[in-house]
Amino acid sequence: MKARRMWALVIKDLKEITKSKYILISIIVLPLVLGAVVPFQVMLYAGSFRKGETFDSGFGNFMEGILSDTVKDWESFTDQAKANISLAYITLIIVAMMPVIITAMIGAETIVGERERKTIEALLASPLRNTEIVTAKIVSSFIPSFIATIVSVLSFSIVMDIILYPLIGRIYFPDTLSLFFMFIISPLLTVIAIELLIMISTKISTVRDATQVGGVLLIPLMILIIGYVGLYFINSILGLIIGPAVLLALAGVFYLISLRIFVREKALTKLV
Amino acid sequence: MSDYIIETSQLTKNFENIRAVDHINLRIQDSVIFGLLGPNGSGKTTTCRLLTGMLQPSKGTATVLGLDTLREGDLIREKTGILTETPSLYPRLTVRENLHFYAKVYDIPKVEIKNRVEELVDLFDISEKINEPAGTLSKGMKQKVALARSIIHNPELLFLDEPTSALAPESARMVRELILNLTEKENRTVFINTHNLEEAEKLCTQIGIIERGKLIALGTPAELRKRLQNEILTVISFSKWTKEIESYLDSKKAKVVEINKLDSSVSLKLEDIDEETPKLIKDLVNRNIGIKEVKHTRPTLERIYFELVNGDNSQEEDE
Repeated sequence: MKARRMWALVIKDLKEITKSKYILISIIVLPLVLGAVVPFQVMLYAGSFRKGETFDSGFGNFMEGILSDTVKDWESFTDQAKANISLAYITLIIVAMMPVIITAMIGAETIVGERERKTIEALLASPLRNTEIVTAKIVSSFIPSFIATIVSVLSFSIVMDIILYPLIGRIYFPDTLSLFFMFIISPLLTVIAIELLIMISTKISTVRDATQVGGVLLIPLMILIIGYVGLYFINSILGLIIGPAVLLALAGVFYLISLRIFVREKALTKLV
Repeated sequence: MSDYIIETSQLTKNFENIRAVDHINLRIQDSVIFGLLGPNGSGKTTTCRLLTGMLQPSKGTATVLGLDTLREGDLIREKTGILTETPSLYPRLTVRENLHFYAKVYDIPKVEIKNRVEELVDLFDISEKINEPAGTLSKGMKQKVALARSIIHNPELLFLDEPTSALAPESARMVRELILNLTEKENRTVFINTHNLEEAEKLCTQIGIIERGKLIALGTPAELRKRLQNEILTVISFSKWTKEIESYLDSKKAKVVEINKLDSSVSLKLEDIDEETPKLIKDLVNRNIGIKEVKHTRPTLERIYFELVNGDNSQEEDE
């Protein structure tokens, strides 16, 4: 595998992405909406307990059971703070979905877009190896998603801290879990999403279809995220070690499958 | 290494129930323009893809530049240039960005890329469009850029798949001139897929005719003409096309090859030209039919092509 050739394809893909207003606007707007606007809106609902309302409800007890052992100084927090922190973690799941949405969009464009515009023909006629093409497509879809993840988690943290600081008197986010999401879980999920898209790309010929299929991919990935958050709160050590290990193994296996599935002959003969 | 730059033996490709390429044997020497001529769907593109290792043969073998297409396709694609049937340019990228990208893909050293792109821009006269997005170019201009891309790494061998199809006559002529320029000045071997007889006749030094995946003829245009050597035609041009000419020709039906009413001319195949031509002229003069010109013509590539393709079809139909 020649790194120079692979990077040439990555840079080309990134240039194409930045030249598409539709994709560029989505990449900028989505992290801000999901990272700042949605958390702010959620916090507005949780922001004011009416007189007599307490955290001692079915939902409150449920969250108390999950968070009390993991969140530092939980017992010293007011009911209002507990409610806000609980909702913040639920919102974090939504924020974590954002890179997968962006990946579906960019992956559809860079992988299936080549087929739709028939530019893949010249690419397959070039000396680029299959490994270089597949790896480059993963990297070029990953980079914008990763940047968007950082932007969204940071904006999420800023919004949450603005709301939580008056209640708990300290900066709470980014905490271990959100940092873990930002640097480990989201990147791994993003890679898995791209690999799944590459696997199914031989069956799809338009970007629109690929984006729709990418949307369907959200469901299993959401289950993985919820499972991971659950695991983290049940046992944070297990969450920190086993969760990423499982995702890493999945990403590795899917990479090998993508390489096996991405065959020049199939990619060419599926051209319409 | 073989004496031939391209050599195939029983090269066959099946797609499920369809045999796209059927036991093709080819030997192409260095520095020729080889034209693979055939109608749409005859197997030209599949042959090209097999030779560049993009497809794997179902049966048979092929070597290109001494490299095995099955095992060394990547190396073949490094050493050859390929112009695909569609220009395959990235529409949002400028012409310069498209060329720079492929320069890196073909591993041209960074310091040489700028100069090489400038050389190609001059050669193909595309300097005015160099900073335009490729998607905004005309078809002819896109084809020029694609052709520039295919030779960016100075390949020894160039595969051109239908280089002028879907182009306006003016653009097609321009692309043909560029191809001739490349072979004459830069001594490259070119493998052209075309369904355009005129193009094959003008450009190619060797021609293979492919029909339903089978190579039905192979040779230089002169060698192919030899196959129909006994088919020298007598072409008579009349001053005006009349019913009398038609009724006269009806009596000579077996000998008429082609009637062109627009030109007021007829092409006849006579068994003994020397003996029959004067008789024929005398006959026509006696009938007061005005003759403008009488000439003998050798078969054109078009005629050879249709003779071979139709002959092959009729054989299959007979079977």
